[in-house]
Amino acid sequence: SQPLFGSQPWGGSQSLLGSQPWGGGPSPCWGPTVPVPPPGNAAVLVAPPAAVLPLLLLAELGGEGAALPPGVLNVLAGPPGLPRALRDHPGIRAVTWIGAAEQDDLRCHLWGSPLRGPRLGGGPRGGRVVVIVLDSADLDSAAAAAATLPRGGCVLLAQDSVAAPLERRLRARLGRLRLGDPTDPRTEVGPLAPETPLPEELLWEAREEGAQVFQVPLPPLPGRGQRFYPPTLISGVAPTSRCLREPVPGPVLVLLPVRGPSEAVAVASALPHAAAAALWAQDITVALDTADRLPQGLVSLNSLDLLDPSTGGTDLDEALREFGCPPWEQPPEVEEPLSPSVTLDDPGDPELAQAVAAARGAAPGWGRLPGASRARVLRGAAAALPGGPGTPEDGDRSDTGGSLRGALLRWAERAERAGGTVQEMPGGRALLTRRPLGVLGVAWGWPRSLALELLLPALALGNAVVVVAPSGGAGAAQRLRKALVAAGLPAGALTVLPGASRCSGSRLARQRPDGLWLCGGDADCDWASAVSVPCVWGVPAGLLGAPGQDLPPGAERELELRCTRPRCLWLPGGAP
Amino acid sequence: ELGWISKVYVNRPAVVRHAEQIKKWKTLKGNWQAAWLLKAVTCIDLTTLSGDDTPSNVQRLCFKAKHPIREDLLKALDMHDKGITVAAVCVYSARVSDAVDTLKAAGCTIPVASVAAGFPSGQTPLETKLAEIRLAVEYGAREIDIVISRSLVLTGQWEGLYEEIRLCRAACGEAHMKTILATGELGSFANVYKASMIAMMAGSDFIKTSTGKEVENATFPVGIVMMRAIKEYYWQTGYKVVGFKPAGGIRTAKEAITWLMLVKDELGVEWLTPELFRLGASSLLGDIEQQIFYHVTGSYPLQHELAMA
Repeated sequence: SQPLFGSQPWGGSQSLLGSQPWGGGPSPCWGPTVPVPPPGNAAVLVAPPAAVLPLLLLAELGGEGAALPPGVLNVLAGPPGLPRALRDHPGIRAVTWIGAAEQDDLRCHLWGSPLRGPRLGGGPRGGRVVVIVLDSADLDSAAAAAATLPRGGCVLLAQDSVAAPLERRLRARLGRLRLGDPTDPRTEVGPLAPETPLPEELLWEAREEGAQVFQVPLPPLPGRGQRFYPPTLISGVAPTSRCLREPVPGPVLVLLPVRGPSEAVAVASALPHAAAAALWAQDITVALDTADRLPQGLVSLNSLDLLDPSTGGTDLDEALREFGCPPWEQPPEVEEPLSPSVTLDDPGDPELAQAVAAARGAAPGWGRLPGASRARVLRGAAAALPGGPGTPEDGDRSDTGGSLRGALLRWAERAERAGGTVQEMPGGRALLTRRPLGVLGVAWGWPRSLALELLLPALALGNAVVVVAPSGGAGAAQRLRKALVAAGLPAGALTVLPGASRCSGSRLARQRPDGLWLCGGDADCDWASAVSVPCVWGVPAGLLGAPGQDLPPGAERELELRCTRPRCLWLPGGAP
Repeated sequence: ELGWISKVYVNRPAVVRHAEQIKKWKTLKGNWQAAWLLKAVTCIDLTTLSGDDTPSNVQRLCFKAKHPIREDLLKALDMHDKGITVAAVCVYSARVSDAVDTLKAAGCTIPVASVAAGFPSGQTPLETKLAEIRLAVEYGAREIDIVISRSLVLTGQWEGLYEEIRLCRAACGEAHMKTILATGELGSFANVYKASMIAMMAGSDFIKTSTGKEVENATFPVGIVMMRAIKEYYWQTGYKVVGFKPAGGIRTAKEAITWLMLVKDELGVEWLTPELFRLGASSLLGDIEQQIFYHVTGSYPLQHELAMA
């Protein structure tokens, strides 16, 4: 399929792993999240000592049998100062991090144009699986699957009528789990990662709140059982409990009763650190409806197998980008070191806040419309645009009405075709769709006037867009907006605000949109604000091509991917 | 209690996947394998259910039942005095008296199990089914394997099925009753689960997967579903334990051990005794004996070295 914009291999690179270790079992959710360098590159993986053990094993295995030439995969465990020192090393071409960046050393500028500095990708992702068991579920299979402790431990939301039978089955299964040496293939539960605190405090708090804690007594273990924690089931927790708010280290299952599918969706949406969900229900209507409403990007029906990305095609690969470290993205040339953080005084921003609030109101309705309706709006706007092809308007020689009309029609067609794909794999099929991000903020900092082609993909695919741009290109933007609103675009779905480009990225980020595009070095954003936005993208300067020209190949697809979130619904069935 | 079967949901792909994982469990070697194999031998119902059974081959079967493994092999394992015999001998109702006489003459207390109630199809009138059961008990069978009417399951007549099994239970009298569900013909796992529950509620001592004559006999997924039903029944009643017997298609020692491990995983160690677990097999014993021969001597036996069953 079409290559992504500007993809080529590069030289040495570095990956920083955040400070929160995940999971405690022998296979702690690395799976698809290990950043495997694509061919042609060497990687240095840096991890805190708590999380480094599986990576060391990976590096060891990589060297055995000459699978990888020496020096291609290097793993370092060290103190927090190590990532910073390595980051400034001239041999490092690109940096990606996974996990939470809490330390001061990692705070830095996010460049507007990543081609001019090391790009930082990734963000706090994934971690837990939410398992929702409705009343028409096969309880034995759900309990058997949950007792395999996916990703170290999961949160179970069970409908009231089946909560008690499910709990009884879980207790029976947890009692039969095998603890032992993590390198032994028969072991089902291994020791906790080093430096992970034991979850005793969380359990004590849960007991104080009135939850029941069920623990299996530890069998005789190697090493006198140090660092082993017994499989635990905490049931009857309140939704405000701490063991729901944070991922519990160790083999712990948390069971919460809910009244029905709607309540399950509400609780699952509020759970932090849960990028994947498993839904158990035999009633197909209820199951598909609930799966649609869940916000998690990876939803599997009646199964807890997390997909193996190697078996799918590129679509699946793109879909799974969301759920862990994104596949290695094109990093920029390093010309300047990262600059120190910028402190901004923070006046209130009522105009921007109002615009974002209006966008947030318009986004759900606009996003839920079928693609054909959105296409109709875009086509209507194309017809209503003043000026024929080739006539310059108000001295905007760069953006003629003609090319904008052509772009509107192209994206209208694309919106109509926005359905998704079905990927058949052994064991079932995956329905891959892309859902709009929601509210997208665009901070324009390039010297040329605002390129409206940038906004069209986001609108066509169901986002509400708020743009902050210098006043130069405002006229064309207002005309476009008027045409769209006349054709049926909800008010608030597109707002263009004039404003100084300096620090416009930070201003937008502070309003907490669902996505943020930074165009140009001036429209940069400081780390502290950027971390709160789920998807931040520094738009490369070459993406738009010369004014009035067609977009370079791969750019359209890149834009599509950047304004939508992948959603994968895994339906097992058929022969395994 | 129709309420116990009204909300039964079984997800077929999930159960099949669970069964696939079982097969990947590490295989046992050495002494552990030999021990589990001997355990499997004590749980076998040695069976011959052919149209051409005559007193002579039934007699041969009974002698094999008393001495399933060659004496010198057992002596090498130091198990010759532990009373290793099979759990029962299973024959057609017309051959029950031959089996009983042979075993009595050999001084053996192994029970004789008879198949009854229109084995294998079950498509006979209820009166003849009950008469067959009573006659088999009269001839000396201490265990009866009855066959249910699959048509009652497929048409959803749960009360009719309950009544039929209850009457068969009454006809068995003191004999121990195994209910064959013929799972290969029941259509769906949910039907298997429901039929298991009805059979247990109506008084079966064992539930058995199949007659051995269907296209699909005992597979691991179906076994898992039935064992989950047994566990649920035990939880609902609080005390009643019902046994499980997979039959048909179990030919190798490795499969026998996998069944034992599966029972231990789903039901627990308490079920790993001949009172609660049986393996319905005929050629399985031969394969187990070969594996034990290999364990003791280090090479596989020639055909004449092991007694024919």
